Amino acid sequence: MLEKLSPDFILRLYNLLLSGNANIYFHCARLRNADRESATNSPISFGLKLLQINCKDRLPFSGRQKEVRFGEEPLFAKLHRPAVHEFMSTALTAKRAYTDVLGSLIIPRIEKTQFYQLIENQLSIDGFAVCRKQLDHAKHSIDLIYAGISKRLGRKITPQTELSLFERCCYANPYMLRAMEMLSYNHVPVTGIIQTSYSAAFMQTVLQNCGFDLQTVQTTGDTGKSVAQLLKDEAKETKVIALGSAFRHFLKPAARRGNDLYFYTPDRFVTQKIDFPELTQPFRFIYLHLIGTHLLNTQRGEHFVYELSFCCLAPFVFAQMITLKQMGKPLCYSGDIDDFLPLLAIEQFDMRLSDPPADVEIGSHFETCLKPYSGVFETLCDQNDPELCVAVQNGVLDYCRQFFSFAGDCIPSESQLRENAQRLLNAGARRMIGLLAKEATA
Amino acid sequence: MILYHISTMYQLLYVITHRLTVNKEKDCCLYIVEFIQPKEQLEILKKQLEDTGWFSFIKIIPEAVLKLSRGYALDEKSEAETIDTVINNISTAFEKWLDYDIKSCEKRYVASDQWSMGVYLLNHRIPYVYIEDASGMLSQQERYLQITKHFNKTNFIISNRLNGAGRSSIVQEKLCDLQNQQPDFHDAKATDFSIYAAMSQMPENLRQQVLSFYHAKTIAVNTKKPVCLFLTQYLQTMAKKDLDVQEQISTLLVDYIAANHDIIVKPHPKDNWLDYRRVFENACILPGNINAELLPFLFDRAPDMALTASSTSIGGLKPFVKESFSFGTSIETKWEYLHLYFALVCVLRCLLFDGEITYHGANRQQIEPFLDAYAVRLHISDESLLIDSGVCAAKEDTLQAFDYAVFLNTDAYTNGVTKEKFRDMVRVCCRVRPKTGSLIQPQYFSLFVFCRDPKKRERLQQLAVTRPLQYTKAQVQITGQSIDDRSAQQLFLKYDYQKRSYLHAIQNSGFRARETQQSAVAR
Repeated sequence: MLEKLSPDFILRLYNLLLSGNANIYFHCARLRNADRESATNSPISFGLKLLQINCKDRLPFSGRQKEVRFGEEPLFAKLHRPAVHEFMSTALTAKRAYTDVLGSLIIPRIEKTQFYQLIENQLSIDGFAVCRKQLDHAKHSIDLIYAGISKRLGRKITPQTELSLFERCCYANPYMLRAMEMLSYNHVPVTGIIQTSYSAAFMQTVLQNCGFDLQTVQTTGDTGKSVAQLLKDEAKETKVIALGSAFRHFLKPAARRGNDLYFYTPDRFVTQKIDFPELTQPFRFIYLHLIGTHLLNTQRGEHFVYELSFCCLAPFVFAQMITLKQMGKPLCYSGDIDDFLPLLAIEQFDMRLSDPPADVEIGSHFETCLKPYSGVFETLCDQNDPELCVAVQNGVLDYCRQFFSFAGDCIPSESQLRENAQRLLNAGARRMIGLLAKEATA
Repeated sequence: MILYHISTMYQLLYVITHRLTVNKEKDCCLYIVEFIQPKEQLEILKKQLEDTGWFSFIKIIPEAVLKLSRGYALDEKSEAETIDTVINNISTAFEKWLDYDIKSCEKRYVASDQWSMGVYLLNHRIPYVYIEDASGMLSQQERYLQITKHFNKTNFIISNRLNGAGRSSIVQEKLCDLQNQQPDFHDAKATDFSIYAAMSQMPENLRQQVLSFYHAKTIAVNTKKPVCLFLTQYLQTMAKKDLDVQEQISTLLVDYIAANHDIIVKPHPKDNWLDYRRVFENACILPGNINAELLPFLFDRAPDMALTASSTSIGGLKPFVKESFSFGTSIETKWEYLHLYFALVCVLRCLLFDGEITYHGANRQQIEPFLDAYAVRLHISDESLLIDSGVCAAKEDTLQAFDYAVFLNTDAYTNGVTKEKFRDMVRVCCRVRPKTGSLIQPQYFSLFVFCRDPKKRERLQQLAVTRPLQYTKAQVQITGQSIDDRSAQQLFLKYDYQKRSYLHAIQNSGFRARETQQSAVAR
């Protein structure tokens, strides 16, 4: 009987089951991506599973359950996003694409409260941050908000500082850079519908600086309309896709217009499913985004050793290197010049190397401040298995690269880096050594 | 009636040329797997094909609908009984859909026999002529089966059960491009048919008909510089399905092999994920939908070079370009070794080596085209050189037989390393330094060179080459170094396998002791 149904009808049915809420979409898409063949070859049992997810995920708070134990279970296996070419493969024949930009294409380097505090510090105006937060409204233009702030604080303040700081605090999501490039390469025009007080012209400049080339941009601040209204006002076309991270505000209204949804699960949504050790801000903010924008998007994450290295070991190495760098001393290293540590120090941290004192035994690599932890590091870096060794080293290297790239000049203090890194190392060290020892004996 | 069955654009061109040359007098029909093109384009393609009149009728096989009647998704754990049930389900559904008696056809030419038509023929033991999946793929069966497995595991399992992919005894012949098969390939059923040969021998008006069917226009090469035609690949058929990796491989190859050339990129018909306009700034990007096999009939001047990582299409261009370079599928996982091979070229040039090379463990399939690209002249003098993938290990006896030896150092650790052996070597360091926006990682490599001639040895120690990699956005530095006592000791400690094993035994036993202790406490 099923073969008499058209694939289009089945696809519509599937889309209906998919678009309940973010959690339903996430779990259904994960189920389908895990075994696409089962989904197409056994559509009835697949459909029943989707129904089950729909029932379960409509319960209150179902989206906030911790699903993965950090440092113990592979995060990537449960929470990874599909490879960007797979994610976008069916989108490239669309006639038009809409995107919500913030949270998907552009990710802020610091959280909002900290951002307002930064402006307050730059402007040297007490109470600015609180006032700015209170007056923040996506349907109000930035000029209107600043007029309100000026009135409240009793002095004339212009939004220039905020705008220039905002530009500096925008991080272009590499996953979305690829996705947008694919759309542009396949001649799909993209319109940004952004929930923000900033003007469309300003957002267009920010997007261009980040490497995105959108055909048009509309903002709620410019128009005084909600995202749903802006979408509603757009001309109705067939074969339109909506690509974004704001499920309720952006994707659901788009689904009501009959657009195909492409849900980029936001970092906050994914990372709230992970049982992290306690971390302090602003490190936590950066760290969670590194997990979200790099680890869960890269194919390398498939290797659990890579993941452990990236999540648990690398923050520790990074903190130690920053400490060493701030001491201004060269890295005293007694191993071979081709080893991983010199590469990391020279290429990533722009440090100098020096020979160790004559009485230091050659090959005792960690006559540095890394020594107290050399057990873990050495076990990880000096594996006889080259594949494991490369996975560990890539984890550290990628973390350091991504951290600099994401944080820009917003790197947390050295003490905070060390404190958080220690917690992360503790969370994963046992599993790391255990896993490596197991693989080494195998 | 002659029946053709296809699932890719390469196969479409293959059967068109076959039909117009070999079966020109006969009635022919064409069955196309619907996944050949996206739905909207498929309708256009069918209409265009019908307009040519080359086939009496054209049918699109609705595999997406037929899939629904399979009943199960198969994998390696599936039992024979289940596999047979799925095979019967497919056969029955296909037979129901089919409105033509294909048994009555004089000959059936079937490509991609893992789809419903192939399953039906194999299940009912109806003989057919197998068409290879892509140029030269008949001799790369393992690669082909892995690709099938990636796209559709159920098809892969069925194909293995029924001896698909041309392996069944009911296959009468295997049509393939014999020139492009792997060396030492032999198959008694293999019959040669190449698109290039067929197109070359076709009457001019017929050739123009084929070209106009593809809307192919003349490609003018307006440059005095040498031109490199770079063939890209479909990511889903590559070993690492990662766009970052594909981009790195593409840029590294062009930077190392065709740095002085103007670049023309021919994307694979399905490679629409990478924007080559960004990757290769100023390069000419050809439309992807034209088969690479048609390019020899479109260029107004032949490109000087054809380059690819491992696209099978390069075979069809070999008779047309001056030189062609392909690096085999191993480059898809070991692309970073290209830096090492560049260092190797620098070493050979520094040694003025032009003798015989012996390979031991090193990847000859990658190194040889690299040496060819840098015009390293060989087989002239009596000098001999060993290229070994390992660390300079216990090779004393072997070394006596060679004037030079280069150890690429790609094996991790080894037995029999001594400090003294390192003292006899020259170290050549290769530093890869990415710039802002580069996708590659910073990397440090070293290779070790054994050289008897003290003068050449000294020259090697002075070696200093810097090479910018334009598209990769990186720089490579090659420097020679002598190995002093301290370095020799460091290297010995790094590569001595026995010492490492010992260290690990201690670490692992320490870990196991802790585990036992913890579990005892828990109990």
